[in-house]
Amino acid sequence: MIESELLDLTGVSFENLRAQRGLEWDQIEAQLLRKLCGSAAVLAGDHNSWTM
Amino acid sequence: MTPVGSGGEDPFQRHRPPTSARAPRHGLPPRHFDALAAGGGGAAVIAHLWDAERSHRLLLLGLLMTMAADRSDAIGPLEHLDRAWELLSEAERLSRAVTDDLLLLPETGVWLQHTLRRLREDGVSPDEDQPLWVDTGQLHLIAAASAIRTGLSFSLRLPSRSGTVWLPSLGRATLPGSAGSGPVQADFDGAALTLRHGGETLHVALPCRQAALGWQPPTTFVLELPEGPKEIHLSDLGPYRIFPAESVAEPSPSPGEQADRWGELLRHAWPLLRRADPQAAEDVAVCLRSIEPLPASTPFRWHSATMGGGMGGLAASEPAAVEPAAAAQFAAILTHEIQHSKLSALMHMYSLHTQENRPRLYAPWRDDPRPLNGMLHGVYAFSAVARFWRGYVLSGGAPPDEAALAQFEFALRREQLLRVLPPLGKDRELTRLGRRFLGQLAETVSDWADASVPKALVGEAERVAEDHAVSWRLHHLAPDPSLVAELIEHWITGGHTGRPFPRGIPLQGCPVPRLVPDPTARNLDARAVLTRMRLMEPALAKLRADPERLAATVEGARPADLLLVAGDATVARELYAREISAGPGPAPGGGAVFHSTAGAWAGLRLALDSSGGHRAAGLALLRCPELVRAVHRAIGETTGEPADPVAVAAWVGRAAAAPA
Repeated sequence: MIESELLDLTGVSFENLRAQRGLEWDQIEAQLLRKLCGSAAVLAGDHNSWTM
Repeated sequence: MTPVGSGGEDPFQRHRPPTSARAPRHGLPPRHFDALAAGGGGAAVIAHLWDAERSHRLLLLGLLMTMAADRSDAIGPLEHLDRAWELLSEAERLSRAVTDDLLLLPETGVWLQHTLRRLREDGVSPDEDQPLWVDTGQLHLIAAASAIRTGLSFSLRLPSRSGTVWLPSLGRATLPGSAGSGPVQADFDGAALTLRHGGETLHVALPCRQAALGWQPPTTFVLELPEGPKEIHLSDLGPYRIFPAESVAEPSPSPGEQADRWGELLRHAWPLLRRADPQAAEDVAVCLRSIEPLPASTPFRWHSATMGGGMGGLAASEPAAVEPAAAAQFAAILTHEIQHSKLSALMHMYSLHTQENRPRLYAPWRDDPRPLNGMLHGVYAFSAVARFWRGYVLSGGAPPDEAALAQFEFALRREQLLRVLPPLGKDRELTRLGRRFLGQLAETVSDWADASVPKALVGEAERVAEDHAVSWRLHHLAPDPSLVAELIEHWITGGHTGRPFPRGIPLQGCPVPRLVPDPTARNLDARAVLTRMRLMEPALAKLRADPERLAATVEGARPADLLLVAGDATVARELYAREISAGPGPAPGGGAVFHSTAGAWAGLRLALDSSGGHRAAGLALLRCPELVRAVHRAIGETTGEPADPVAVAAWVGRAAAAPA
């Protein structure tokens, strides 16, 4: 198995999601936010020559 | 949709209470990672991606709750986000399938991405035309939609936009007498929804799949799959789209006709994809959830897009009525965009590259330099496009009038991938997994020598790929200024009489040219589009008969391009040379105004290549076109006399061919 960086919340519901939070989450969330804001949001234009 | 949370067991039994141990991570068996990297996947592998995507969305949702918790502007006139969360939790207890379905809508991912950015920017987005609570209040709308779908009564204030309330997956309510944004009181009694705002009331009996006064359900299409029908939504009603509509209340001019056109397109494209590339069809079937319609484009320039956070959603322009091979082209778009979705989900799990994201790389399908992330997406998406056209050729599914186009498209995409994959695989910003990913993809592409494509079409594809690469260099690379100065001096002191440059210039262009992105670079594929039209005659013949239509039909094409592609290289060469001598401005022969002569230089190279006998000039214009242009321009500026572009190119070419 190639372990990923993504927390596995397969068994986690909305009800207990927020109870899961802990120190480890802060780091993960900070990384998620960095990735989210640093990445190109729209993958447009990779078809033909449409540039955004 | 692929069910998330696999297995028949109660998923809540697998809930792990918080412990001090390291929290578990998602993972993929190596063979699944490699299957994805090789361009495929299949239902079982993509089920892993959906499972991971659910975790990703939950994390983002938790993050949104944390970031919005203490902000009064994130609540506004609505109930606290905790109230919406409670309703969502109650609905989840009744049906996790329903809440997961809403959580995994493409628009939910788009919303999370948009709203988290807005929260992070901390109110410094002056362009936002809606108060923050209208965005955060999407949680209330998701909770309300979950409750309605599970039959759970509730009373909750919901945000409206432009007088409408969009309930994801259910429909859009238009409130009587209301046009702005504001809170709307919603009451659901298990069967009917009542919305109240400013003394006006709207009742909707739910579920309501028919349009009614004040109610518009989403348009759905059905894909017939072996395991049963699957619904795909037309994403044209909600506010969280890949390309947000200017006004969500703005109705489509003829929604019924539009829906019919999309439905017909899917009906025609789907069997083609299944026959040409069953693997891709399987991936599309388990991934695709919604199609966002965009305005029609021009022939062979079908616009399409995906958003990294919106797995399963794609945006695409409607085909124009005269779009050649429309169903096959749309099948290629489906598999192209679903590759983006798969890779985005994989990148939520793994880092394939460092955070370095500078636009610096050549992409054969783009006008602009791309960051590494965009390159990974590009090669992955176009590998699927190549695979589709290859399958279309090999399966014999292409009708006779589309066969040449299919062969050309396959040869072109393979050629482009073979050009960029080797250097990309060595990029220093790739992680170990990124290198593994590209290695698998390169193996797939290198195995595609079997589709028999006539030699002439392979040559055509190579010329088109070269043309784009040359045009891109002319736009975005600047040669070493000291070399340019040295060349000019020698030209003035004897080069113009034929005296050779005293030393050889290394073929790859001297000292390495610098990247200076040209933000005005557009339509580098103009001659490629004309080539496609020639392969789909009478499309090009019609254009030749009515050249006034050129600028509107193929934006960025010059009259010389039309002549060149139609076979008149001699006149085309004269027009290109005239444009180069005149500098940026109107193209000789009429039509558009150009900001740059880059396209004319690249066209001149092709015209010389077609007419033969210009080896040195052709070599220089292929290997270091930016140097030839810089020298030509500087000679004109220094002497006041424009030099013959072919003579300058040939002179630089002879230096490039001489021993260094």
